[in-house]
Amino acid sequence: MKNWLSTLKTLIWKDLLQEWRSKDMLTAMLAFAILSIFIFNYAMELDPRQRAELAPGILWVVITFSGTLGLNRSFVAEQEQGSFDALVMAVPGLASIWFAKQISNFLMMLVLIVIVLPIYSLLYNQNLFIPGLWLTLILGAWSFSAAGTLLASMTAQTRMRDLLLPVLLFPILMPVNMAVVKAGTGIMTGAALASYQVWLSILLVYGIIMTTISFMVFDYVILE
Amino acid sequence: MTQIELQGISKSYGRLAVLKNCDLAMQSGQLLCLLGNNGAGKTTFLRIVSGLLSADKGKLLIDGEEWSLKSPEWRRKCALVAHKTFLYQNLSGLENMRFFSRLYQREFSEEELRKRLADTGLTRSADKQVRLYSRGMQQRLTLARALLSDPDFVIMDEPFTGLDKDGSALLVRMLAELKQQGAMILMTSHDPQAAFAVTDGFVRLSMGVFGKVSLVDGKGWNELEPSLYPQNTPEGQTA
Repeated sequence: MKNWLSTLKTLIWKDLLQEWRSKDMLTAMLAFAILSIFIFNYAMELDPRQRAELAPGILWVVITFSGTLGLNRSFVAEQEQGSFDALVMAVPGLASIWFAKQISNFLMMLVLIVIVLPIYSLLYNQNLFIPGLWLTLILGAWSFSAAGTLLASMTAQTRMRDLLLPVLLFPILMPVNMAVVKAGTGIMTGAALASYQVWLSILLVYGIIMTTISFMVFDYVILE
Repeated sequence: MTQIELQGISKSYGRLAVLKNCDLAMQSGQLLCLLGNNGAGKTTFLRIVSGLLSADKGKLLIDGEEWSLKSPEWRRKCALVAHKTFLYQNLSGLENMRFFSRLYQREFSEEELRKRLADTGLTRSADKQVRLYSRGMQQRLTLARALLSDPDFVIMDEPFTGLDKDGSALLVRMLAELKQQGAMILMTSHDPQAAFAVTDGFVRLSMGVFGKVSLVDGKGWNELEPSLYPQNTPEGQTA
């Protein structure tokens, strides 16, 4: 277990250092996210009540679409020089490769959320510093990165990965999309916790199930 | 003295049978050079042996005991040097070495890692990012990276690619040292004469089947060539 955790830490360190130097993922994600928020801002004239109702939906669309751009780039370093093979040969358990990449992708999503929410808040003149909303988005980001990293590891080996990843990912993420938007809307409109609690539970359970499945099938995906 | 045997390795891609019941036996300190035309299946064979690709059929025996080719224990005994360098371009040479040594759970000090880089002629480039390295320098770093785990079985796919004269001499020296340390080395080469100085034998893969191993035993290339490339085997049929 100690070895496994040390391997995990090493892999995450490598991903973050690579990203810090190349800024491949974050640049693409942030550019897309900020542009999208501006476009939504100009395209829709909303009164304060509509803003509260629509904010979680708009935010989640921006976050998932930007996140998909990031996921598409998350295995680029491994693909460019074939280092994925070296990782497979070096690590004691292949699941550590997936889990490290998933955590790295999740951290990128967190950075995205931390930057996007204040910008959105400023442009729409809306207070988004609500712990419940942040928790919902963070749970959503975990599920998104769990499912997305597994699919990205599969599509990274294909030529049409930019197209294939969203086509495969978005149907799988339907429960997450619904849960984030419903729970977020409930939180933003000040509804009672009981009315959206079920959506938070769905998010939590989905995250756990997707993480477990990815752990179980990653070896097969890589070697077969 | 360890002996490994690969028995009945077969692999097909759809209807195309790339490897047909390939057998190979090697022992500690032996270096075999695998020859074959483009598309003969050399790389496929090496990827199967290194545990990166599943064979349709076949098994691995180490000292008579059966091992799974896909087991992490086997993969970690192997080192692979392939066409691609397996290096992270935005990390320095030293960082790449440190990263892979940690994955192998071998905590080398910075001094030791620098020494290993110096042994491959990369003293002054150790702190530069790999994307600034030339192809030959990357190949040298690839060799240093591959040997970090002190592997029992070294697999090299065209290791002389991109190396200059000094680099080739360095590789030959490293191969000789590895043999002395008891490692088994299986390598492919389009230029068998480049590896002739350290090779113990040649085996040719043609039409998915291994020929007989031709041991060097003090013979010259001219003596070995007829048995590896019989005149009645048209080259065109082997792809």
